[in-house]
Amino acid sequence: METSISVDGAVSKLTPQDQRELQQFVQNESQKNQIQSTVHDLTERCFKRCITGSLSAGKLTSKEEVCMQNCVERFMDTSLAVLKHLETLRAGQ
Amino acid sequence: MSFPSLPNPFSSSSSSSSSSSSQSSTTSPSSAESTALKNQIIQTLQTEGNVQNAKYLIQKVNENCFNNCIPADASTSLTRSESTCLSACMEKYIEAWNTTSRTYIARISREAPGVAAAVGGAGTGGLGGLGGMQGPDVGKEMF
Repeated sequence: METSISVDGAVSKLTPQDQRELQQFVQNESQKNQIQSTVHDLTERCFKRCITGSLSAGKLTSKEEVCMQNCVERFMDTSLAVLKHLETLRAGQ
Repeated sequence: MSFPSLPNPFSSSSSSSSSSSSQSSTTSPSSAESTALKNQIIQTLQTEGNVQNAKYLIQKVNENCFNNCIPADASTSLTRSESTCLSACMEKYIEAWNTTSRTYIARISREAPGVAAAVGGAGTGGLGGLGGMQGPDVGKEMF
């Protein structure tokens, strides 16, 4: 890999246009990191639930694959449902 | 089910990589040097991000596959069946990660298209990083 560069010092050598583009890139990258971190979390959570059989083959069975997909979808549904119910609780106060 | 990835407007890949020697010679930024430097910074950050992601994945594989494959009364050395289990577990875990990533990104792009569009390459970038992980090149970077 290449020698790493000092980002702090380097940014002042960029044109304003390039600084903006770099800033945009960093913003996107940080959003991407958030998504990846959620994916890690969900993978572990759902793997524990869905991969329960003996681990002999290296491929997910179609059942396990569907289980993973449903697990992710239901987790999202759960967080939506909790938010929604929280709103009704607040409205009822 | 494929998630449409937006091309990353900043990822002009390798054309810029050899410009580091020229960066101290000028004080006011010329636009060509600035672009080259910017691309180099982006590439460095991208590589770093991919490595971190892959490292974290391997850490999770270790934790989960140890729990799944190695019994509480572990013997003095790794048995053949434990070793088979570990290989299968690792492959399954990575596949599960890819499935989760695809499902999750498809879901958020349905519900918050703005977010998904802004990140664009998150899915493919993440998958690309992991896909490459099975190859020898990225593996070298990781250890």
